[in-house]
This record gives sequence, structure tokens and C-alpha cells, in this order.
Amino acid sequence: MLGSGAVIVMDETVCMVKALERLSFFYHEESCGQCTPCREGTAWMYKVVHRIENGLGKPEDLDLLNSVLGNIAGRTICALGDAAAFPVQSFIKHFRSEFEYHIENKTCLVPKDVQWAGSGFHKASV
Amino acid sequence: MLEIEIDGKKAQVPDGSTVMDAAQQVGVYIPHFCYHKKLSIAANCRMCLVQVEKAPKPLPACATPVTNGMKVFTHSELAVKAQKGVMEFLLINHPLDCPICDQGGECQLQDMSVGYGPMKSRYTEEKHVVFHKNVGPLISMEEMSRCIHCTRCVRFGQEIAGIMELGMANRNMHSEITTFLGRTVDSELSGNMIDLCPVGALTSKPFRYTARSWELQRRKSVSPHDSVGANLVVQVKHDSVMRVLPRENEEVNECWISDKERFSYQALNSDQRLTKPMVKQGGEWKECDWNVALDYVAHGLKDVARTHGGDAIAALANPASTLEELYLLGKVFKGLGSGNVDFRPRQSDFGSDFKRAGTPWLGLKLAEIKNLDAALVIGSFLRKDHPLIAQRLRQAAKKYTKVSLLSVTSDDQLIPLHANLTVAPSQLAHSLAAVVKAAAELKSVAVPAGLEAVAVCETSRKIAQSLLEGEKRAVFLGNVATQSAQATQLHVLALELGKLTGATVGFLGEAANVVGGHAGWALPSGANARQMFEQPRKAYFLLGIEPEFDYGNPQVAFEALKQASLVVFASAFKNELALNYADVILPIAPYTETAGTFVNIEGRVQSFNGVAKAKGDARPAWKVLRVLGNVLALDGFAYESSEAVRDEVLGKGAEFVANLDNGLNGVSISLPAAVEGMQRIADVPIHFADAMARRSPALQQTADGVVPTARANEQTLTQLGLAAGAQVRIKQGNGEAILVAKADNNVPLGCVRVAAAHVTTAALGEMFGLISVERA
Repeated sequence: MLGSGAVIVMDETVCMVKALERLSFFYHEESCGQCTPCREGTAWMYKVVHRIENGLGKPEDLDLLNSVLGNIAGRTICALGDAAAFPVQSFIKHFRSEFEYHIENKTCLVPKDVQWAGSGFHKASV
Repeated sequence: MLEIEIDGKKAQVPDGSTVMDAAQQVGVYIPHFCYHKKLSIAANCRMCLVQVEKAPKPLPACATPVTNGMKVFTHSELAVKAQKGVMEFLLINHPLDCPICDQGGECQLQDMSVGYGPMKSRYTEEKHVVFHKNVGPLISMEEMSRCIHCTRCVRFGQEIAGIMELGMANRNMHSEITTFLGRTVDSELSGNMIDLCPVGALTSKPFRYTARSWELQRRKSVSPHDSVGANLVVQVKHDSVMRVLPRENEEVNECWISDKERFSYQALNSDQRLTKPMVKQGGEWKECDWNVALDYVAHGLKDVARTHGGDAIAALANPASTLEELYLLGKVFKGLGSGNVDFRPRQSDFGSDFKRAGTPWLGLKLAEIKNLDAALVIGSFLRKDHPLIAQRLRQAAKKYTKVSLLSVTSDDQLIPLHANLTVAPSQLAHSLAAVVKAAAELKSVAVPAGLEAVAVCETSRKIAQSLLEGEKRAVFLGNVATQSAQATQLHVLALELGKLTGATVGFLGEAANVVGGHAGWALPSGANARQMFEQPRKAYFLLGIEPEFDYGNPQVAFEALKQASLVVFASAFKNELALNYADVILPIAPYTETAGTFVNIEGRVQSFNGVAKAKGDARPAWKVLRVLGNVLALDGFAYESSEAVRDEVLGKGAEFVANLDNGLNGVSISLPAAVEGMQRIADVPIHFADAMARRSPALQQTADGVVPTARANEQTLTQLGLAAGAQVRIKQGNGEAILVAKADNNVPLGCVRVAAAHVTTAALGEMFGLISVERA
């Protein structure tokens, strides 16, 4: 299960916004593009989370994300739409403070050196 | 029957209906983009999501089958929230092009966002951009960013046009509608995609930026281009035709029209239009008034009648002329003592004249094609000659109809054929005879007299077998069969086949008004269309005919026209050659500028009014003939309106023409002798078939508008010592054509396909005659 990414173990050194950015990018990229909510909605969610991660977030963004995902979940042809919506919903629900910190301070709650400490590679992209 | 309740309204719907069908029945509008009643269900726009009682999430109305006792709410909170949400998603990447978008004013996205969308946008990110594509001269794909990915165009290609020319490439936000690797969209029905596209992604290139939809007046008309008589909406601005759209008529053209019908209007406004009557005096052409021109014509005709007799006068009309024009033409010239009136310029075999049981027609209604168990089409370039009939056969073949084709080329008809028999033109009667013999043998009855020596192949047996099974079967004779030198024998053999198998026999119809010509008494009591030129006359009246393009053997026509003392050329369009052989040129109105009637191949009477003002001094031909009748002091030309003429011919209130009957009396089977030599196969390319299409630039730039090549089987080319791509000289009679040779294995052996109706081949002769081919 660990190899396919179905279960990911994260500790306190992971920035949840960054994790959500990667997850929503995954769903945006994997969306087949057939139905409107998933095709447009995953792109929209990814772009908003991307903005938040890169310090361009706005206070309305969290409510916006919740509204958008509410329009995707249950409205799509297949379950990818639901699967894309639920991480956004639960991340914001359970780690709201990290998102709000990002929006206010334009940087991760978890300091960058702590994020990548002990992870060998990726040091070049810090 | 199932019971469903939508928004409190109860309805009974047949089994298998969807919620969308039920809503239409009840009169409730559910917003949708990708759903189309003629296409398969995609359910990918998600706009039609409605709340169904006891369902946890909203369901797409177009894809949800009705269950008994279902309750549907289209305006509940959940449904409205879904509609607003989907609308918002559609608009986030949609460019703000409304002010410059052609679709503005007739855009489903605009209308639905006003009715069902949110008040303002919350999207502040970048919008996705899609690059424009060039898919040909008809459909504009300049702003594909507007596409909402409903895939109607994709499904249209797959299902209706028979060839999937547009597809969705890439995925997620980068998905775009495109053709395969830079190809163009070439289907003869492709223009319908412009109607289907709910936004301004696929628009009409010729119409681009010319008018706003609210500036246009919608007027009804009927197509003059083929025997289906497709119903049209002609949109007019300031008395000029700006656009032609289909008018829905489920029984005739459903909701489609072919590209030729859609774009031929360009010719109407071109400088190719004839606008003033002209008379040749002293070798010079002089423009003049109508009364001068008609006086000249009347005097000329009376002189010839007095000196040489009425038989020295002949009149030939285009079979796409209106019923009124054909009838009055017959009346004028028969009044002058000439029975030499005809409307079948391409025909060469008139053996069935005076032997017909009634007016030839399709044999059944167009809407009945889908109920056929089997159909055999004989001698037809089906897709190109009859795009809408081919479309009906395509849908039928996809269900359960066994469609077989017996013709002179194996062009891809985009129809899943049950059997396909391709033979040289001279072998058509023999091949049909083989099918007749096979049918007799399969039924274990006596083989009809005259067919004893015919060899039956496996395919003929397969065709015959299909026509013997099932309830409703049909045998159709196409244009090649009608134009062939074996036309009468093909007709007789088809009738024999119909008798043996119980299939209805019918004609696909060469032009818009062939049935009208028969019903309107424009048939010759004297010389037919061939005889009137083979035995030259002194005076000719050509109504809408350009002999080099429209006549079956142009050489014969020109020999006769050159020696005539009076040639009247009545046409809507200028013609260079006519300036040489004609003496009077009369500008007549095309179908948009005259009131008239076309009788389609079902015998359906379809009248229409003029929709645009006549250009210059052009006049409706029926009025010209009425005045000519009066100037000639003939009786019975005091008509007040074109309806009066129509009622005189058909009787008041006739919906269908009477006495529709494909039977023949007193013609027996007599198979023609074998023919030696290289045979010509002349197709009439779809966009060269009539004067209007020839002068529409957009149609001439399509793949069907290319200069004809000399196409032959690879074996034939080798036999002739010709290389594909080399220039070849086609000689026929005293004329020749220089074309590029092309290898085409759809052409049978011993034949070369040299198209008719084009300036490069206008000097040639018989359409299916013998030719010689050599290197140029």
C-alpha cells in the first residue's frame, strides 16, 4: 500500500499546504477531462492551493475552496472528482491553522530547514 | 409505460425513456449542453443535474432512465446549486469574447448563464488558452478556447457523418477538440457541427463577422440542391442572404442540411450574378430592358415556328427549376407547337418515356428508411449525390438494415455495407440481372426470360438473400443508373427484382424537382433532352442550363447550339461560353428571390416564397415565362401569383403529388451487348453539381472542390503505360481533357474516372461513354 501512494505517512515536519498542493496537482493532472466539474474544478483547486503555497493566498480562498469542492463532489461521472475534493476538504478542516498561517505570513508554518532536514535529496530545490 | 412526476407534473412515458425525454414531454426545460436528441448520450457537461427523490446525489437527466413512480425536481435547492456550480465551472476558462464572438445572441452558454448561472465570477486565476486550428474553408476553429468540451462535434462525426474527424486530444484542462494531425474536416455534412456547437468555438467561416443574429430576419425556404428538399431557414439582412440554416422537419431532413445547401448562398451575392437582360445585335452584346428582350425572343420564336414549324424549337430546363417554371415552360412551348420540352439534361436513355405507369419517386417516405430490413442502392455516388439520404441509410445500417451497394466505384460511403458490388458502367445491367437471377433461384421460381445466360456470383446471391428476408425492403436507383445508357433496362430489372422479392422500387432523384417536372407536364411529347440536340433545331430556350456542365454529352449540345438561329440563355449567373452561342441572355432569379414549389423525391409538395430582393433586373423565371406567354398571345397565361400556377397543376391544397408510381408498361428485359474499350465514369462532384455551388468560393476550396483528376485502378494505369501523377490526355469524340492521372483502386478495371461538370472536362462527351487515354 505504501508504494502506490494510497497510504502516506507524514509527520509534523511536513507542510500540509505543500502536501495538498502536490495532491491536488495529481488529481488535476489525472483528470480525464470528460465532465465539467472535475476538469475545471480540479484545475481551479490546484491553482488556488498553489497560490496559497507560494504566498499569494487571500483570506477568502479557504471558503472558496470549500465551495468549489462542494460543487465537484457528487456531481461527476466517476469517483475521481470525489477523490480530488475530499483531501482538500479534510486538509482544510484538520489543518486549518497551517493554511491560515500561509495566507497571513506568506510562508510555511513549518520552517523550510525543518521540512527538508534528513531528506537528503530535494536540498537543491530549497 | 412508466409514470414519472417532474416538478409536480405527472406524465406517462414509454419504457426506456430518460428523464430528459420525460421533461420534454411534460414541457419542463432542463438546461443542457452535451445532450442532443439526434446524438448518443454523453452526460459529460453535467448541466442537466436534477434532484431525484431518494437519490443521494443529483443525477444527469439525459442519462437517467425513468423508473416507475420516480419524482424529479428541477428547481429544488440541490438542483439549482448543481446548475449554478456547473455553470460557474464552464465559465471559469471561457474567454470573455461575447462582444467579438459570432455566437453572441444565439449562444446557449450566454442564455443559460443568464438563466441558471451565478451572478458574478469568483475566478481570479489565469484562464487556459487553446490554440486555433485550420480545418478547412467552412468551419472556423479560430477560438477553440471557447470550447466547453461537450463533444457534440465528436459524436456528430462518429454517428451522423460516419467519419470521426474531430476528437478530444490530451486530458484534464489541456483537453482540446482537434482534427488528426492537421487534417481538415471534409465530410459533406460537416457544416452541421456549426449548428451543434453550443458556443462560439465552431463557427461558420464564410459568415464570420458579417452579421449579428438579431439583425437577421428568418425566412423559410426549401433547398434547391437535391431531391430531399431539405427545409431551410434563410437569414436575410437588408435584403441580402447572409446565412442558411436547417429548418427542422423530422420527416424530410430531420435537423440537418448538407454543406452545399448551407454555403451555396455565397453565389447569390457575388458579382457572377446576371442582372440585366442582354441581346446580341450585330455581333455585339447590348444590355436592354425586359420588354425589348422578350419582344426579341417572341419574334424570334414565332419566326422559326412560321418558317420551320414548331418542331424546330426546343426548350430544356434544369431539373432544379421550380414546378411553376417547368409547367409554364411546357405550356409556352407546347403552345408554340413544339413538343420538344424536357428537364432531364443528363439522361441519355429515354426508353421509359411514354411507358411509365405514373410519376417516378422514392417508393416510400424518407422517414421509412429507418424501418427497412434491407436496401439495395444501384448506380449511385450515394454520399456525394444524396448526403441526407445517405445519412438516413447510415443510421439504418447501424441498427439492423442490410444496405447493399451495386455501383461503378467502391468509394467509401461511410455506411457499414452488407454487400458491395463494383462494376464498369456497361456491366451495371448484367450485375443487376445477376441479383435478379439469384433471387429467382433462391425462391426456387423460374428465372425471368432473358436472364438464362447470366452468371451469378456470391455477392449477388448475398444481396438477393438480404432482399428476400424481413418485412420492408427497398431497391433504389441512383443518379448513375438514371444517367446510364442502360437506364431503362436497369429500371425494368429493378422492377423485376421488386416483384420477386417484394421490395419497393424507387429512384433517389437527380435534382430538387424531378418529380415536379413529371407532375408539371414538362415532359416531351416530341423530342426528348437528347433528341433535341442530336437532331439540331433552329431555336433553343435554355432555362437554368449551362450545357458544358449540366448536359450529359456537352459536345452534342454545342454542335446543335452553334448552328441554331436563336438561342435564349436564361440563367441567374453569368456564363462566358453563352456569350458565344446565345442570342438573348435573360437574368432569372435563383430560389431565394422567387416564389415557387419544389416537389421532393417523396412527392411532397413544398412551396416557398422569395426571401430576398431580386438582384438588379433579375426576375423570377415563372414571371418571365408568363409574360412570354402573353407576348406570344397564347391563351391561359393570366396568372396572378405563383400559387395560382401551382394550384392549376396540382390542384388546391395538395400535400403530395398524385399518381406516384414507379411501374413500367410494355418494357421487357433485354440485356445490352458487351462493350469493348476504356469506359469513362463521370461523377458529378458534389460542389460542381449546380450553378450556385460552382460559384461559392468556400465550397470550391473544400476537398470536394479540387480540380478533377483522371482516376484509374493501378492495374489499368499499368496497362495503359501511365504513371500516377503524370499528365494524361483523355480523348472523347472531338474533344479532349488534360488531367493528372491518379491511382484509385476504387475504380473498376477497364475504366477511368473523369468527372463531369468541371471546366477542365467540359469539352468531353458522353458521361459513361468510351474514351481513349494517352500520355499528354
